[in-house]
Amino acid sequence: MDLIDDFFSHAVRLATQPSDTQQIDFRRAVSAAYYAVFHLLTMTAAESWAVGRERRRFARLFEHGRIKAASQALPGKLKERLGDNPSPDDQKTADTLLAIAKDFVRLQQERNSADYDNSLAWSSSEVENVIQRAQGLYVRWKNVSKTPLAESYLLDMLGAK
Amino acid sequence: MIRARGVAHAAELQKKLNGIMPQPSPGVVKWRHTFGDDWSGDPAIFFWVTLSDEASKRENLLNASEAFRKAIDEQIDFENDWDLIPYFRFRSESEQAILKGEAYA
Repeated sequence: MDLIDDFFSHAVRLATQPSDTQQIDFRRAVSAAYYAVFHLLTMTAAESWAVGRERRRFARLFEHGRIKAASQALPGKLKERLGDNPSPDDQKTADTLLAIAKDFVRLQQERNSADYDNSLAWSSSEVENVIQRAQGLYVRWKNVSKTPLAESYLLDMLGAK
Repeated sequence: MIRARGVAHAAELQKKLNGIMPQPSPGVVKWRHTFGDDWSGDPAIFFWVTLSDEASKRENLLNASEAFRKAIDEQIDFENDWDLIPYFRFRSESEQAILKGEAYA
């Protein structure tokens, strides 16, 4: 996924190369890190869409608010899906997905702050922490993205019942 | 209008927060919190954490921030018990000395 790598490279470059417009660079870095994970999720879902030529349109069905809602509802959904005696592998996947969901919600908040809230100045550490968490989410997602639980989470993001 | 339990019973939650150690995890110099709504309008608690310069170094930052989150998460279940989404921000002592952010002060 070249686009995702590009978003991360862009974020790191803005965060680490001092310039005359540092605060703007920091804000754009936070935004880029968030968009890396946003597109990571939407593109993973689109890859499963059978009609290749329509995958980009499919990816555009995802909305920020719905992904947040799905992430917040994930603990309850996982309980339903796992039942009383989940296998160790499923439990491990579920724990990973819960961590991803939490981080996604937090990264979305940071992106909104970076894009819309001019009252707070960003520090290098704050920006670095956002990028590191986004990169961590990327790595965790790669480990579980092909599991049925992750696929169900992606469907949740579209508002599926 | 339904209010988040953490807002409706703020004093009770504050008592719990007061019970948390001044330094819940290594590298934390100071931490404080504020209540508010996040960008979607959901009730939230925001943690503003000042880390030592050493803990804020790139190679230590993720561990230091995760340790703080874990320490807080283990003691208080904000989402289920208080209807609040917890958010965390971390900066170094040196950065705060320059930026003088009120939320961290």
